[in-house]
Amino acid sequence: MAEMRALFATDLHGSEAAFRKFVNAAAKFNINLLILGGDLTGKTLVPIVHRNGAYRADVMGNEVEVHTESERAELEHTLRLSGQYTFRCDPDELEFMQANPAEVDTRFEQAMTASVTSWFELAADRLGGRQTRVLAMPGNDDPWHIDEKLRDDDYVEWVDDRIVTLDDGTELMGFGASNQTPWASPREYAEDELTTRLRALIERLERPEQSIWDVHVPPADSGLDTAVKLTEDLRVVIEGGQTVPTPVGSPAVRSLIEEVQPLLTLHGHIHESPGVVKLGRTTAVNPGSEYTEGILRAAFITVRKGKPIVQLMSA
Amino acid sequence: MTENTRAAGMALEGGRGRAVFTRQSTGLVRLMGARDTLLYNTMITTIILGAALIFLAVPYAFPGANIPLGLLITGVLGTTMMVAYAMLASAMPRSGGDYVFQSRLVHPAMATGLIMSGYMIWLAFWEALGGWLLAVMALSPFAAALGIQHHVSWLVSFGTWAGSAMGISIITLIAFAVALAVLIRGARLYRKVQSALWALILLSFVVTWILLLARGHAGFVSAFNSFTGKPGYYQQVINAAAGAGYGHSPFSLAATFGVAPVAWTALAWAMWSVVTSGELKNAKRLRSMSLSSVGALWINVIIIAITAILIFQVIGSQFLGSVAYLYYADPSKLVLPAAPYFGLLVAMLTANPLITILLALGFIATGIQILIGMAWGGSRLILALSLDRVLPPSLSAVNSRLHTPVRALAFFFAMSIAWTFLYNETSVSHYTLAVTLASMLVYLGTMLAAIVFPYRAREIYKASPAAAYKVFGLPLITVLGSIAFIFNAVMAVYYLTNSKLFVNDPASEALIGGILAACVLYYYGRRFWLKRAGYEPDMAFTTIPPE
Repeated sequence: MAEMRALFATDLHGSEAAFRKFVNAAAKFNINLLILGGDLTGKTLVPIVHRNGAYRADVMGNEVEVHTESERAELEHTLRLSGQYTFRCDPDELEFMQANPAEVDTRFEQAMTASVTSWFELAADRLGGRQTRVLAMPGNDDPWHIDEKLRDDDYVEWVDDRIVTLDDGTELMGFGASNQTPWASPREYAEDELTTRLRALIERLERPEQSIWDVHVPPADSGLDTAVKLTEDLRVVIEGGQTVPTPVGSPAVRSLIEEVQPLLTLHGHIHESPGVVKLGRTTAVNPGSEYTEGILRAAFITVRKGKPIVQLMSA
Repeated sequence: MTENTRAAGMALEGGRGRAVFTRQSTGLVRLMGARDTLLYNTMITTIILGAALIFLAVPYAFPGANIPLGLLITGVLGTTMMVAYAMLASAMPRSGGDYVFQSRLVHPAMATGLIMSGYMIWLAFWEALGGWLLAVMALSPFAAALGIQHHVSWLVSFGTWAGSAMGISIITLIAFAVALAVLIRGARLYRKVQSALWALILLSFVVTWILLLARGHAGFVSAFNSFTGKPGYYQQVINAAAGAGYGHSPFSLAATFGVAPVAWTALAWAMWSVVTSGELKNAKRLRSMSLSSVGALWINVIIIAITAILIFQVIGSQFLGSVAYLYYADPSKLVLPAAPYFGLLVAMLTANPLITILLALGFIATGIQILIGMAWGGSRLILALSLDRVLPPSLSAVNSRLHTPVRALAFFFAMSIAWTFLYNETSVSHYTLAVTLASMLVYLGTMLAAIVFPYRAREIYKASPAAAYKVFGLPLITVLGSIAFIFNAVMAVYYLTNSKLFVNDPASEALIGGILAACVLYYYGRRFWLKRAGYEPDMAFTTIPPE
């Protein structure tokens, strides 16, 4: 039985750079298990507007204009690396989309599905011959429609609301939805509902105390869930010129971890709150995310003498 | 999913005119404004300490310097560093500041050495300095001034005790306890306290300006002679300094440049929010961060410059030069109840105890501001280092009840207590400005990271707002980083070559170099230990191609 050498990353949000680094890390670090936490899809769609022989796009608030096809291709590549989807259009088409949100939805849907599907194909292409298992699941920000194409992928194992057995016999339980957020994102449940759904999964584990949980939302008040406090209209609360940190994790997840005490729990959701903490005998991890910078944040995991060794990394 | 989309222009930060579609998902928040971070940066810059050091150390170390002009030069050159920091932070937000910039863009051993020494160990030294400032610059002179003016002997005795080694240590330890209590209670209380402290500091400056304008030169001479109880003592101080070898120098541009290394001790901190905050990456954030740090730098430059103009006009440049010379070179010839920082001299201008107390509160607030602000920053750096396991991860544990990194704070204050003992019981206090040199080494490391950023992390740079700015085809961040690197290098040379800045002696240099070398060695030792324990520490800094 091969020693587990796992790499866990989450909240890549469509970042081509972060995902490619994640896949390439397998060869570089001799990884035999890649675990991709939730929030696979991007949040923004950038029109590349073609007018008067030039292409214009908004890049991080700066209007960028390029003139040649190779410059346009490079611009699209740069945007994709940071997790932004692109599409080419002329001014009339842009105006039409601005007036028709349904058209924007369609474009988003196509871009998200195409992106994640191409990721899975890339993983199979690069890792299929290496005997590296790849597990993936959605997060609260991923729309439900992506499951249809990905749930039964030939190579990548979809672990949302499922339990899989790893090569060393350890059970891994996946759960991608989160508690409720101010944004009403696609996959959210009230705390009671989270408890019910997670408990149903836990009851299917043969050795819960030896299991690994891949649960997107971090436990409440754990140091893995510290986000900036927001007003009701989603403004950052500022006091004394600084943001105000506040815990936003799930009390239900924390309560279940403290009750069952699994070996290891893997979380994401709160990008700015990376860390490795102990909750009783359980090691809980959030590697954080810097997808917009094209930085891969991940947790390298091995198990030595029955204890997880977790190391955060960024590349 | 129709309801989930937002039309063009509803950008991440609510900015106008952005042609980007966003869908409903977490994290789309409105950006904090430049005004908020400007306030923070202005408050974290210890201007009273800066002013006190400039008004005493500059006339001694750089006779003939024009302080307002020197401050202007410092502001112009310092602006390059502020913008370079903002560019780095907008490219790598919420990442741990200097440590992340240097470890990812240059080398982790360099980052660990510079940050652990300059921003952790020497930052803890600032804590001892903050306690010393509270005792020697605030409580001691103002208690003495009040006691002498109102014939209250116990206040005079307290003032003398507060300036003694025992007094400084006890006052420092009490202040540590208060600062630790504030920080452990959490960020909200910290920010309220910080705002109150800044208000007191600003009030103290305004009172200083009013007193200086109201009393004028003749008023000061009279007040000084009266305060010391020696008619004609003002002139005697000038004569004593001349007899001891001090010669009042005419204006010198070379000496004026000497203002920068002293002023930079305080002014450089105007970038602090750039490395300790930030939630979103976009061009608006880059502008906001640049404006807030540059704005804070210039607000503080202006406040100190106004005070300098008034102080030197009213008190007299030859007298101030003489006082500084005697204080540093021949203190036995200067008979004053406390160290002659500008607070004491200004306090002599009033017999009103309420006004004296208002002046004192500004200095007391500065001492506490240093204690709290440095510990806040230091604990954040401990968190960043422990995330990479360079420091034990247990140090980054956040207390679940208080939501604060109690262990990191306790660790930082433990270092500070050790420094306090050394600072007050040995000759280490002689090397106070060594902390500025140690900080400059950190700035040098970070500016090196800024210079190489577009070349060492091409993808991250291209995706950052900084990529939009070029000068003659060169990335602006490289150009600004180069200017700021040279500026800080020149500052470092001043410290290493001018003996009147108290760093240019073998013991001081050995202390700075020794701590830096020990931190680099620690990095390699820790790396070895982690490898033996089954970790692969180099992973944290590895580059993986995205293709």
